[in-house]
Amino acid sequence: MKNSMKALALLLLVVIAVPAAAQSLTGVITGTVKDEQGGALPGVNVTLTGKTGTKTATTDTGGSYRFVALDPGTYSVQTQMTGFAPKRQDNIVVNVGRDAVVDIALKIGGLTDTLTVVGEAPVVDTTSSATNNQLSQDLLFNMPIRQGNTATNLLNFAPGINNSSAYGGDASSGNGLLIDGVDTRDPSGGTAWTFYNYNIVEEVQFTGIGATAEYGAFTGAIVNTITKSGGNRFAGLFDAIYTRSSLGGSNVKSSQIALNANLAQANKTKKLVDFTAQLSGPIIKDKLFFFASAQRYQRDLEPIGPRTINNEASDRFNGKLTWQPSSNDNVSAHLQFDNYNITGRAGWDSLTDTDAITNREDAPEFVWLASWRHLFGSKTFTEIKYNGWWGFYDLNPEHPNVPYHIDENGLRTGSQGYFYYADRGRHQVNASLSHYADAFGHHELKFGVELERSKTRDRDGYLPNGVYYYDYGGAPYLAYGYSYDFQGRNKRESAYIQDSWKVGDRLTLNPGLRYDHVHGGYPGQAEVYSANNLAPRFGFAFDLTGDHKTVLKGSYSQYYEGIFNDIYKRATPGKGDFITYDASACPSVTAICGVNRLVETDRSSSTLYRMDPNLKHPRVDETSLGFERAISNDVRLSVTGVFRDNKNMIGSVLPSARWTPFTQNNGLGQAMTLYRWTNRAASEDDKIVTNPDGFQFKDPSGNVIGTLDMMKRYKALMFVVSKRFSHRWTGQLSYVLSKSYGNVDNNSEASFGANSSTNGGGGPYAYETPNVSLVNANGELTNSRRHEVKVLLGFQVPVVDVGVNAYFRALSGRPYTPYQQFASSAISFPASSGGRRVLLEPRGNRRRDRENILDLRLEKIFKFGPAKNRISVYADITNVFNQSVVTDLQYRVPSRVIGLETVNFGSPTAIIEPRQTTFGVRWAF
Amino acid sequence: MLVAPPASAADVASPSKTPSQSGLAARTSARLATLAPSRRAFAQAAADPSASSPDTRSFFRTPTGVAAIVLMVAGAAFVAYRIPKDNQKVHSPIR
Repeated sequence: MKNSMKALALLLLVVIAVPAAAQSLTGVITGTVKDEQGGALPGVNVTLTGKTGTKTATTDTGGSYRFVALDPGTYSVQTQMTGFAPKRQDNIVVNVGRDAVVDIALKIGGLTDTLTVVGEAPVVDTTSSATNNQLSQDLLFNMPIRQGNTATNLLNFAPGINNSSAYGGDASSGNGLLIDGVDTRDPSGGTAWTFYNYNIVEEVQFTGIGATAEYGAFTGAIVNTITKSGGNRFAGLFDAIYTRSSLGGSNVKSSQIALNANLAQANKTKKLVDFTAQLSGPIIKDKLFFFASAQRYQRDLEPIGPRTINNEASDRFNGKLTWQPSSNDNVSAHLQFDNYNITGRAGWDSLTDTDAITNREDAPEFVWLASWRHLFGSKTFTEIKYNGWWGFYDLNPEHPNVPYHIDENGLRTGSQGYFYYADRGRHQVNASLSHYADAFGHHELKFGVELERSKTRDRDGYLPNGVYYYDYGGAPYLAYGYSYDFQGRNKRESAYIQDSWKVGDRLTLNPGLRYDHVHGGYPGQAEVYSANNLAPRFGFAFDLTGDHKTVLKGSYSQYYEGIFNDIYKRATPGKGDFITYDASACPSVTAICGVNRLVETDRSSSTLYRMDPNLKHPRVDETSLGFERAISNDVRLSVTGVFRDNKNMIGSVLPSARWTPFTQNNGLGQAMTLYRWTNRAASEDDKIVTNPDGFQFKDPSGNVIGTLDMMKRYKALMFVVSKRFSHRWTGQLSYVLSKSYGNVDNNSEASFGANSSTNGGGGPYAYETPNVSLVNANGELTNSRRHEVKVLLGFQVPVVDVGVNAYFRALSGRPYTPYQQFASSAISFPASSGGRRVLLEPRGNRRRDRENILDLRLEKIFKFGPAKNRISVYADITNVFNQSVVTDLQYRVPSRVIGLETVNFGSPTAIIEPRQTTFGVRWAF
Repeated sequence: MLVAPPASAADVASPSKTPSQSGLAARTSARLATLAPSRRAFAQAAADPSASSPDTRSFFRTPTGVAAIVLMVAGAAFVAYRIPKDNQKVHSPIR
């Protein structure tokens, strides 16, 4: 049986070309057993006890022992040897991807003289070159952070990460969001897709600076959420939270409303009810375990504008079975179902839409994982995982049989009109082999292969008969028809090798190499885009003082982005013609107008973009240098410097276009040089998706008027002091001095060149026109926070036993830039694109308000009964001081109509949410 | 996982399954326990990794087990009951 399992493991490892953002799910306990004089003790029996049973090992000739492939959790280690008193060390916390070093000194004594020690691993890891700026589990699980999307919320508590932009990377799309190793991002654009229950989280692992080769498909950071599992002990959690509008404050100032009357109708939570029921335990002791969780989340909003209904609901189930057929095997299967819906979602404009102009969002999904872990003795093990997810996201108009009308004043009647369907699916297979070897030092080797197949489909069109109507004087005048149906197929094959090579007692080298073959196409053409990426990683860690308390570490790494359909979507078919009809024969009612009454007057078809066959995949190059010092057994200080430089950004250009410079007065009263497209008709169909860096814009004579020098960089100095829980308190204080700069923004999806057009900057057309990509393009990026202070503090008040947990952050406001949308006729650029939004000042020349926000959790715990029963009541108070920080502004010069209001440049458009108190109660055992 | 700071010092005490200790060992143990960093308490299932429920049947006969199974079944049933009500789709002519 053993041999056959070994053979099967190896066969699967070799034959299955499997994928992975490899993502370890386990940790290690290792150490040395010595006598009182420091002599190594070989042959000592070491017993490890965890929640699923016990394992044993014997120390080798050097007195060393090792337990590998351990699920995260708390363990105890007991040693036994004739002539020595047994010793037991409890409360050893194993974290994912970490080695917990437990060295044991035995004293001479009898077998009954067990010495028990409660301790924890050192606060400094002197072998890892990755920067440990992540949050402790104590902080993660005690802070008032459970609102919204768990994965992205957790990410934003870490130093150097704000607005989901990690270390200068793209907001959202640059981050790998993993559940048990499954990358749950949208394979279309890389943004968050799957939501999950905060209460199913066992541990969260952040990986970013100095990540090893097993981590790929990201250019920001990775948040790897490990879900709970069952064990020998029955454990339960029943949790409920509640809030309503009367528990919320109002923080919009009259001066802000004077600048933008829309702010008077700020969105508020009418009612929030969220409960979880969870149970886990043994089915067969030491062999088979279960974990089950059910959650219902409902949030009713008081919507902005004339709408009366806006509700959000999610019904989620999680189930996991864990089977240990032998002490060397662990088989696990996990399934999540999420039924996520929104009613009353504004279809066009949240400020003016009535209930009729809304849609219903239907977004269910399944996430699954099956894994097998097998140990070949104490030095080698393999992990094989098959995982994936399936889901869709539909927006259906509330009244699908009523057409959409818009009149000359912008008034919308009828229904929302359009539908949008997004279908997604993803399969991944990951396999890895880890081996611990002793040759020229000590090695922790890991090899892995990964395979990813994902698919996307995006459909959009108008109901009920494919058109919407433009009314003039109360009756249909024109009708427009437009639809698309894009399909994408992403593929990735990856392999990596990495080592943690302990050269001597103090120096550890961490070399690695990762290879990714990413490609994409659509049904009928397997490959539209293909790239081969080789990403070296190299790191070192040097124990400066030789006592495991001070480490100097550094790394150089290349991280390639994942494969997304949006990279090559414009080179795939599916975009329908834009058709204009004369609808004057239609009756003046919001009813379906028969096709026989519509007369086609214009049809505009778009040509496909070409893909540059030599296109290189986006990546970020990172260099880091860090210093960590254990101030005490519980307190750690770290200082890290990091520099990141993004390469191979992707965008589209018009190689045949010619541009004529001219001088234009802008809305700020300044003269500026713009460029008019002089040969649009002859060149607009010559479009290519490429790496625009180095592309030359030319005038009609062929002279170069400007060259693209695409740049997105990040530099930072991070100071972090963290203290794990002792003497009733825990905390982390961090200060990050940083700058994100260049001419490729770090808002969503910018790693492949799509500068957001809402801030000015052209959107996906940014590099097709020099007006956007050359004029005032360089400066500070949208998610650049010069100064960032984050304080997380948890204190257990004596006598009353009330926990006070606070999260305070003081952040520099984000930069912004005024832009002006020039007339299509002025620069001869299509009216339908964002390529007319020209920055009027150097990028990031101005800055939003600074944010100083305090969130608080107060919790009282009551203990009772024999089964470690605890009930707690708690209150989360967000924005305690009810600050009214402006989080967004109107950037367009001179003004823009938002809702029915004309909002001038510089006026606020969004204010941070007011103070809200949410009450919770939970019972755990 | 529910994790919170210890509600009292008793939360960080050593597990009670250890054999009796000699005087010196006991004093050393007590001293080390005081010096060592406190473990995070309120860890839902990790207070004592070696602890296990005697067997399934006996757990579900305890007050804790009865209350847990009632709440679990009720919670799951309610979530299942809500699924069709929360997902009242607009009939799409395409799907």
